[in-house]
Amino acid sequence: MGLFDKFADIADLYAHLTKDGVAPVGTPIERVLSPTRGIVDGNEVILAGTNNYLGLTYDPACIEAGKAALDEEGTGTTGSRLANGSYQSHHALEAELSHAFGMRSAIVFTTGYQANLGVISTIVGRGDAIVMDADSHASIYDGAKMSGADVHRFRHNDAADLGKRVKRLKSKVGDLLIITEGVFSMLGDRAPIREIVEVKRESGAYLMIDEAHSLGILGSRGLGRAEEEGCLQEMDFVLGTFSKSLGSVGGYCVSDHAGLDAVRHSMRAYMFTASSTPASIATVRAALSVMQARPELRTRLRLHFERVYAGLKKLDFVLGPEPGPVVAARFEDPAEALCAWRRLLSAGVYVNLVVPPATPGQYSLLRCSLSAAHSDEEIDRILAGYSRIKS
Amino acid sequence: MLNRVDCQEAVLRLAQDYCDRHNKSLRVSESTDLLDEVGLTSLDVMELIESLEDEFDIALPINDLAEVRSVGDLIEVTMKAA
Repeated sequence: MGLFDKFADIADLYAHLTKDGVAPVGTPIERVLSPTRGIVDGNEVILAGTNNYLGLTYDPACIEAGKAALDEEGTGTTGSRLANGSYQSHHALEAELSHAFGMRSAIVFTTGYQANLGVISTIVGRGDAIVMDADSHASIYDGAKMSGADVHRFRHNDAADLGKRVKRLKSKVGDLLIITEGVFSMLGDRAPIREIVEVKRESGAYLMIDEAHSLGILGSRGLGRAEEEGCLQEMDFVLGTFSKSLGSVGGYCVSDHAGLDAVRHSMRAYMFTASSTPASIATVRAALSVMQARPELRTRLRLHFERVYAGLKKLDFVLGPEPGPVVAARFEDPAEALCAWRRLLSAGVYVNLVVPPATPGQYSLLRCSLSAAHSDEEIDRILAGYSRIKS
Repeated sequence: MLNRVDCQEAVLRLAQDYCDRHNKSLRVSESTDLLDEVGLTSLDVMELIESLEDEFDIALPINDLAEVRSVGDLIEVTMKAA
């Protein structure tokens, strides 16, 4: 068997997906015109699949901060955080995150993936156990696998199932880490975090939440699902990314455990990679300020996603259980989903096509992510595009 | 304490259920390959493991998945966890 033979099936699938037009996976975006507009396949489209929830990628303050950092500190750090890659700005961002969350420690990572990989694979190990939501992101699965701890899953968003599984484990393991997400990336549904906190309290487990799709969106200060539900201080570890609401790239972990700071010296995903560029850090710091100063962005985003959710429901699409920044329409048949994706694109709307095994429940999804930067007219056009699928 | 006969019966039943649900005319035995013959994906195997955990009130880590290829393998990892 040749080295690449095992990829033959995936190559065939990709060839099938692209045979009738532009690729729905890894779609080339020929030009980006604004947070909500781009050119795909030669045509201007509304971007509704970019996770650019607050629309800050073109925010003047963020762009200005990035340009200034490029001028003052150069294009890259050329080293890891533990070598020469910890600039004053990296430390300043950590202090700002720590202050925003009201927690003692914060660590900034080069990507959100590395934040999950680094923290999870390091803080637990052999003899410990992880119990994680079955629909967790791949970075959580990968971190859990690398940790050496026993890994168990609980049924998606089912705190009673979590409780049952934790009870089975408690006497048999060392430390126990429960992992969930604030908002789930595929269906946009939210974790029942208060009920999960109850399980944590009863079991003495540690609790980690990934707020990748909820930072900037939920909570009175935009800190995510745990803040929204009034239980932020119950979180042992809050992780997230800068690549969605904050419109840049990077990841973070904040914790009120003073011991977190020492973990940086043991995390391979943190130690053996170049640190974030000065421009990335500068744009994140500016975006964090905007996020905190402009709660109206969250309000506007919420109005958009509630409107799109209600509109698609009315069109008889099968959706996730509740409105969220991601509104995903389910299809049983991948071919039908592909056809719908192409119709939507021809109507001038770009969303994500996601097919199994990346989706929960083996469905195919048209995954639409909304932005505060979408105009009301753009939301009208998104809904009109979906109605064409049904016509 | 879980005995092997009960474990074998449960694993065979669950694998057979999967075949029947997916219209596969296959009679499952201990040597049946769960991936190639039954057609389970790694996600399906994780769900099968969770069903076994509930059936026997045991904790079966998904780390053991790497060792599971056949119905017999799944019986062995279940017995080990019990």
